Amino acid sequence: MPISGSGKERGWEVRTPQQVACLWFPDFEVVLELRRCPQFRGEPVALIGSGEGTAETVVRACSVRVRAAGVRVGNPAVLLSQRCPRAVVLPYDLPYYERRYAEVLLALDAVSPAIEPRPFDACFLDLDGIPGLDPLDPAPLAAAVRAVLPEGLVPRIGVASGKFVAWVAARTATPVRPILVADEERTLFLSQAPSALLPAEPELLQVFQRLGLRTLGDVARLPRRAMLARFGRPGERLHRLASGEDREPFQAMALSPVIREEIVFPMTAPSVADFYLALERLVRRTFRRAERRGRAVRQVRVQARLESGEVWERRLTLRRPLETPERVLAELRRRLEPGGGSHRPNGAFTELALEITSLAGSIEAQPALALDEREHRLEQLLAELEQLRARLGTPSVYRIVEREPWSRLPERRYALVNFEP
Amino acid sequence: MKLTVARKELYEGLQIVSRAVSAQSTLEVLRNVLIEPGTDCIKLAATDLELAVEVLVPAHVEEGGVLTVPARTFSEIVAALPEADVSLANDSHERLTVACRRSTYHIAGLSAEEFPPLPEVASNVCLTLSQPLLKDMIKLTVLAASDDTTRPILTGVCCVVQGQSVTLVATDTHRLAYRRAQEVDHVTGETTVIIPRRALGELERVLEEGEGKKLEIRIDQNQILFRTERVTLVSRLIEGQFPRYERVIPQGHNRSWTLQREDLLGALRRARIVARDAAAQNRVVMQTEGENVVITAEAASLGTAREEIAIEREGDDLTIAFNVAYMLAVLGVLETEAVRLDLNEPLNPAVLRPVGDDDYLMVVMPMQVQ
Repeated sequence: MPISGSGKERGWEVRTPQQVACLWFPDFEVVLELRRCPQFRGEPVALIGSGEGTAETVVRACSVRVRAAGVRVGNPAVLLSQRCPRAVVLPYDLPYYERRYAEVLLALDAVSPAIEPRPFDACFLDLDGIPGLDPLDPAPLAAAVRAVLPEGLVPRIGVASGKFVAWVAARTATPVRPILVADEERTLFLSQAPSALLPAEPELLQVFQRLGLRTLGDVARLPRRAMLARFGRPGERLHRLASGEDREPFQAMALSPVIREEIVFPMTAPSVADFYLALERLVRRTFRRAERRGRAVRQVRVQARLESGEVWERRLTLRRPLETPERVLAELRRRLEPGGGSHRPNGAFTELALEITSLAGSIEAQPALALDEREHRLEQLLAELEQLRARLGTPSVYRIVEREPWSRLPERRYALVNFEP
Repeated sequence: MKLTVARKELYEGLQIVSRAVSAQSTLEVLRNVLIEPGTDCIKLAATDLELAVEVLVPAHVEEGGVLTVPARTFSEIVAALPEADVSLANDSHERLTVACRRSTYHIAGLSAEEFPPLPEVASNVCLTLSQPLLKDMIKLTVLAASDDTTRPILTGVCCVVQGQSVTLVATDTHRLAYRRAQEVDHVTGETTVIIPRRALGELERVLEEGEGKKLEIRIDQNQILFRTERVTLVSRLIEGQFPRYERVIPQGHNRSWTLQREDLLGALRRARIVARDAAAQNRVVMQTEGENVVITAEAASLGTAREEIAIEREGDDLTIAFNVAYMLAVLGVLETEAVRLDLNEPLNPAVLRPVGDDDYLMVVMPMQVQ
């Protein structure tokens, strides 16, 4: 469990809260797939995809019934046909899970302003100073969490004064019974929990099992010097956690709303011109969204669903925040062209989506000098067109777009599309 | 090649040319520095095809012969050698032998034939400028050049040669720096070009302060050449049309504040400690109160700052906000005792000028006061 890090990343605030809640979402990806495809409820479900650092197709997530059949995450996908032939096998859709996880974090922002994510199975909430939450009763917290999360997503909740104890409590809780661990009970509580909950590499946890260290109490009973000598600093840290000395820092993430716009094409869109035309529309739409609140764009994600069903995706972090759609478009064009580092999708696609995944502080508070007369004239023209559109109610201005300039059929060379400023 | 050169001078020369070495290039020779002996000096040269630099270093040359060696390795070795004469010699296997006292190094080099020659720059426009003057002009303008690569034109400094004057202008769309040199000697031709900021930055490093030090500038359609006694620097120009900057320089003002530069600089430096917080967005608010201006900054998570400095003022009271980084950048390089801020309304461009110097101005766009 990667609880702590350096805490020096941009947009993170490191602190040590008095009271922390851990929300554990068991089989998060599987739950999301079952919400998307309810016809598979009750069936054993496995999500497969390329393994990390390997081209082999492996099980990336699976339901309890698949695990009961002897298949584990990371096993080759071929094992499914041997051990769980009835399993429903679905592709692992990482962009979809990331999107939904980000939505969960945004929703939880209504409960606590300080959230530390741990994609995808958990997150931590800082409970300090939140009115209406009794530090000795986790029930109001559970109710508040239930109220903001989407239906069907029920986390197990553990509350304690440290992240690790809260994590262990969440792993022990049930969907209807959150667990609060008081400081005076933490040593006893931890001593009975399995040592597999320690934030360590699987290989190290297997060593613990082989040595007969099955509970955290078993680990805590060892001399700390012995743990340090045998496993180095990580071993000492695990001993500290198992003993209830939980000083892991809380890294609250600065949450930024994800602004997403997408276009679904009635038929496949094969040309480069289609791609950029759609991208331009998406950039302009995202810029008009109220959630942006005038802030400049720092990072975007472009996704395309290819004709083959695969998802093409690029996350592009802009060198500096850009505050106009034209500049974002120019940067995307530059980066997606060959030589720009991130190639645009090859082949036809059926959907294109653009997400603004990170916004900077407003730099529109710093107006620009009126350097370019043409830009001013264009702004004036766009304002006039908006008025015209409002008065007539229908689009009355069109843009000529080059589609297939090489075509022998004149009507295929160019197309008229609604002018969308 | 067989020659002797003072370590200090060789090292200084390498420091200058190394800035033009292309560390990322796929052409191996561009990662090298050229060593070409003359009669009583050696020429060191490097280029990344955008910028080319040549430096002459005094040396006692016994035999000629040209070679290129990896700039980084050569510089590191020379930097670490003791302060004494360094002997350089090459052999038939393109190896450079570097000897100094009891140290001897052999560096594998490449033939100089592959090394691109210094680009020829036609004499369409020629002029001679004082080195300290150009250094000052660069220092005062380059700070306003943009680092936004989506608008490459703004990453350069516009150079206008017209009549007997030379003007440098740079803008990042939020501020604009303008510096003019009048009565320039030996100007032939007129032109407007955009010089990459990097080239001017490198040039600024090598320009000398002494009065009477001159440099020659030659400009053609695509390139610009700067030549001092020791250093020659050639840079490609940025293609395109620089925005019509004259339009954004306010022609009048209805308020004017004269402030002691050091007082303002100190107050803003302190206020920046609060203003640089992400929530404060570098904003400092300046508000007149009688014969003083009150500078405030506020960041919800940090606190507030309040500074008060005396001004000489004309016009009504005003509350205006600026990006403190922009103000500090220009105040830090100005040298006059006092500066004048010519202002109109809170969201109209302000003009900062050094008092007593009509050839420089900085137009700064204010921020929203909130």
